[in-house]
Amino acid sequence: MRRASLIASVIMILLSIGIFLEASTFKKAEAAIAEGPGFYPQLLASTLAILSLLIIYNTLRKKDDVKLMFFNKRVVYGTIIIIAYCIIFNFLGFALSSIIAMAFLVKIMGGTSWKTIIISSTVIPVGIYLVFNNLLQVPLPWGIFENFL
Amino acid sequence: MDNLLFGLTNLMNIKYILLIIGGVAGGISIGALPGLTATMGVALLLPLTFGMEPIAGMLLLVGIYVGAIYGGSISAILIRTPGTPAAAATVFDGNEFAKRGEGGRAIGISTTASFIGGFISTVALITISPTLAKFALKFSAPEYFALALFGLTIIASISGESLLKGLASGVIGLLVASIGLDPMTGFPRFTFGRSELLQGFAFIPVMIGLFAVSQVFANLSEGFKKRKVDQKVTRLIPTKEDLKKMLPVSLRSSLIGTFIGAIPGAGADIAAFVSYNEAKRWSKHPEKFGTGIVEGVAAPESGNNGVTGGAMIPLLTLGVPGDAVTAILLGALTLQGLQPGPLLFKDHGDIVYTIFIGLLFANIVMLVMGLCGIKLFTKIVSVPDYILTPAVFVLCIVGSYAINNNFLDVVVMLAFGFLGYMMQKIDMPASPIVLALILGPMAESNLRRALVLSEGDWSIFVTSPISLTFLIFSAVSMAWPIFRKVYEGKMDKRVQAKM
Repeated sequence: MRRASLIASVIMILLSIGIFLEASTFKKAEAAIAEGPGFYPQLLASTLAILSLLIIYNTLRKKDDVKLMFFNKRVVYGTIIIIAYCIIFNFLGFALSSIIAMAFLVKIMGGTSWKTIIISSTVIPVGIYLVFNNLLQVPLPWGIFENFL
Repeated sequence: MDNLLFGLTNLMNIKYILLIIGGVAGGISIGALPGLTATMGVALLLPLTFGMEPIAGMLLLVGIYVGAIYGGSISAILIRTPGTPAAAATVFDGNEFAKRGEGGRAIGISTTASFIGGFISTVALITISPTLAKFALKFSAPEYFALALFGLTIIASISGESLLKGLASGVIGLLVASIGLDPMTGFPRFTFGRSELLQGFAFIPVMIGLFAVSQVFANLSEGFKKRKVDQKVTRLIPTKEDLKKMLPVSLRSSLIGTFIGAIPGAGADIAAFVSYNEAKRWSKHPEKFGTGIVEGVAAPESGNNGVTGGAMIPLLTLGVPGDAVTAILLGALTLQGLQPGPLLFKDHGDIVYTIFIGLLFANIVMLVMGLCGIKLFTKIVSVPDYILTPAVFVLCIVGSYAINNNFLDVVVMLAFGFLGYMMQKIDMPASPIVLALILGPMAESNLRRALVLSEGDWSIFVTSPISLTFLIFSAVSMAWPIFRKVYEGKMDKRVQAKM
């Protein structure tokens, strides 16, 4: 937890420096408006940097620590499936890519029997598709199959 | 009164009634499932309303809200796992009932208490809001800035353990909200030349990411755990004796809940804990709390459902959400082309009053369903995570995609989901981001508009009495956590000295 908090604070400080610099390039309007467009983001970025420094100070003062586990096997596999889903979505459309992604997700979450995997990963995406597409008139894409329908 | 009758006749439409019933049933199921919160349920099912007319969509969402806040108590009582954070305080006494084999009795108490909380807070909403809306018509830029600032400072006082992290999360939200066109000069900020970013991030994908996808990651990290309700749930309708014990506690907790709900930023989880502590403090036998007593279930449950009506007060009258769920409702209203705030009462009174009556009806539906349909909801508690988590994921995709038929929104949603997961791990609360996303633009544009009005003179904020009052409130709420720490530190020292 300590290390993670420290890393997060350092990231936030770097982020606020970046934001501050980027905001200083914003043009100030010539009109009578008191503050230009960069003023507010710069104010926020400075606040975030100060808060992050305080978090660092607080974290270093604390001795007790809880061990954190960000990435276990399931999270890594899940992230890979989600990224793959984003890639195939444009080709296969909603229904097909969801069926595939869902089957893998059910499997890594601990669904063991093939029957559960097949039934849940088809019934749920198809059900959602039908509800949105037919009942609610919210069209969902079919990717490269668009022209066949 | 005429308006209310009008709302009632408006609601007498089979479609609306079915939507409320469906919303409450869906809400209870979502609430009862650990890992699915009320905020997440409303965010996930919001896309269902895209194609609906405003009233229909709002009634569905309001039904989900009411049902989900109540539903959390079912799993809190039966399997010692709060279904939503709002039900965390119900575990203390509720689960003790279940251990004695009286799970049904506890659920009966919680159902009735939730109904009382929801009903009283809705009555408060109906009586207070029209007056407040009329009053708010007088607000101009300085008042709105001070109000938004007050909402933002509340974040500080509710962040609890990790005050600094809560504040940092709020500032991140403000920064995210500043992406896009500058509200005053139209200068594109942090868009890096991309035209998709001119409007800033769409609010709904960010919400779905922070509240739903983050939970998908969390569930992936936890893995599949079996949940099973191992007792028969019987004897639901509370006895006269139980009712007598719970009534005073429920009334007080309902008012506490309504009040906490109405403060921008504080929500059902806090209301439940405050109600529980107050019930204990006022009780003649505080030592019995935690052993499974009627008051211990009634207090948090009336308190958390009390929030539902309370949180709608600032939403509808001022356009400021009372908690994270109403923040999404605000998003839903805006998507429908309605701007919540004092003008909503004037221009769309029909919608407002139908929502009022719908909210009352939703609470009645919740009572009936809780007392009669509990067998079904206890079954839902056992739906395994390996089906639930992937299903939530697919719903997140649909929800963020369907707003603009734009895949960029899906990517934004997933990115915020990952961010939300990381934040959850390091104890950084996510709801400040969401409140800041809404209050941020309101604060900035009104601050700068006020300064234009006053030609750069900052005293405009203290010469208006309303604005000054909000500013004082803001200062108090900023100082409160520090006061509390100092006070508690002194108390600790005193206790140590005695030992």
